[in-house]
Amino acid sequence: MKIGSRDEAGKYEKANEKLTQVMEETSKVIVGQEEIQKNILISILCDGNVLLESYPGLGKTKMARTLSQVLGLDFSRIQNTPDLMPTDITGTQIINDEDDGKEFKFQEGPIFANMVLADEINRATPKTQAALLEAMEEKQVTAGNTSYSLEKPFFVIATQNPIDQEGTYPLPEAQTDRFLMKLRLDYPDERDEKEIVDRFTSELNFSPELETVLSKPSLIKLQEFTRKVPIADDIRERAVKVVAETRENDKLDFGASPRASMALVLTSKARALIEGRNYVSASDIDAMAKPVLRHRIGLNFKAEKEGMTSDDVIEEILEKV
Amino acid sequence: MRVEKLLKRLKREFVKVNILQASLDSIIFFLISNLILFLFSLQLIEGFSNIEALTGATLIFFILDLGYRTKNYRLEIYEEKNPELHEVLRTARDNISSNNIVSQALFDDLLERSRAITSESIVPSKIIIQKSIAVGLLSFLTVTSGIADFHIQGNGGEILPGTDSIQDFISDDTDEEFELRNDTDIFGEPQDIGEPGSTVDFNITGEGESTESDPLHRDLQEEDIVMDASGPQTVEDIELAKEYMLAIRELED
Repeated sequence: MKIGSRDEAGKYEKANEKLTQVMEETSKVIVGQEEIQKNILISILCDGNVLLESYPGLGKTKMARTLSQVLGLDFSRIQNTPDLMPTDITGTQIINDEDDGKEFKFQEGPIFANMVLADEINRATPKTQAALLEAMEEKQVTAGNTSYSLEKPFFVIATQNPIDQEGTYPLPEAQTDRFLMKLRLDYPDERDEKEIVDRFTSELNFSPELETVLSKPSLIKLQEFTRKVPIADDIRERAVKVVAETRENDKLDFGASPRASMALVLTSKARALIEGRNYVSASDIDAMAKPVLRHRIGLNFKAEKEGMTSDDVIEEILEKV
Repeated sequence: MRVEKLLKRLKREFVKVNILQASLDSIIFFLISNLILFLFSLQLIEGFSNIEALTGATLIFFILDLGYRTKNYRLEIYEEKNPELHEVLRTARDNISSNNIVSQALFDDLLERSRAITSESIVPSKIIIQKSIAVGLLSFLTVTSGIADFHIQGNGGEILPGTDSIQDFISDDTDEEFELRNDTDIFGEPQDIGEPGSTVDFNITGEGESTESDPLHRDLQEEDIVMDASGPQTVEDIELAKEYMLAIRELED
């Protein structure tokens, strides 16, 4: 009995080592942005999707591609434009001309990958956005009368530019709620920027050898592990209270849904796993509150007039609860 | 199961610490009370020596103190005193029935870390030192005052009445001896109420016969009625009653 228990603990420790190794491998290419990397990894462990808000040229594609390589996932990138059609993402039926006749064959679109980077999602039309979001939610795409399941694990990083709003179709609140987290990628600090410049200007093609730390099945196993991380009752209650408070707050027009409570607890579990803890701490809830809640709440006019942001309100709520 | 044992062990450790604290509190209580009684030459309960009375009181104090302290048991006490166990203990307690890899890892981790946990980790050493100093000081004062036979007040009397006093209080009101007696002693021998002076005695005797020749013929041969008159007293009573009746009628008219 005791030996069995030791084995179980050993498996857990190994999983934890692997996650640390993922972070180390990614840092061979990406300079800084550890928190963003960690949050993307958390989102992958939670089988959720990320909305990444960042300015151009901050290495989003590089980061996503590197992570997919380290995690052993197929990667694809979709550059959203207003004339992008849903079938351009999902795929379409094409006529296959064979010797024995012609037949329709489904040509898979770029959505058929494990990790999809949907760049500037707010530039796509609502119809195309809906197709992408349906794929995120249902893990399947429909072409004609046939539905095609997407291979697991499936993960989308959708990006949007926070300043360039002309000719865009902002995602409605109901659709942003489907993203597990909204991350903000800021400019690197001076030291990191110097390192980036040095790293990417010294060689023609900077591509260090990256080790594939995980396989798809082991990543799915880690997703199962994540849900099993134990959490104390009072910490879970606190997470629910934080989300419930967003519905009562007088600075908000609307608060977060119960989906946010689930997301907050789940991401906290994943964070604990990455941090090498086998239990959820209150600090996990605090750390995950902003990424999980900021796109699920709506500031009212008064709060906006006072110059407040969603993050400010979340901070207030965390202090209060 | 192992975690349950651990949680029980932690509670035992907590009780141990509280026994120590309650013991020190009780000793201080005993020494202070004893010193006060000695200095003011007081007797706590008449009929009992102060040591006996104080021992009883101290024992009650110890039980109540320990009970109160043990009632306030929280697992978080260990977390406060052992920051490395912060949130781990609570999580293990809340997920004690969980049986998966991560929970098992948590339990193993907790057992590993908790080896270092003993009652010493939750002993409030500052308070224990202060109380120990207080015990030493009070013992010194008690011994010194005993050797010097120093009393602030010569004869302070009693604080609580003893059982003898209570008996005296009861016996004060009943100086006379009394004994329970039966009704014969009180009222004398019972006596039969005497017969009235005269009796009314009815004696009716009837006799009849029939003959074979004339069975319907009945012949009363003899009727003997004996009536004895009432005694003179009865007659007087009747007369008196009659007078009263007449007087009442007159009044009514």
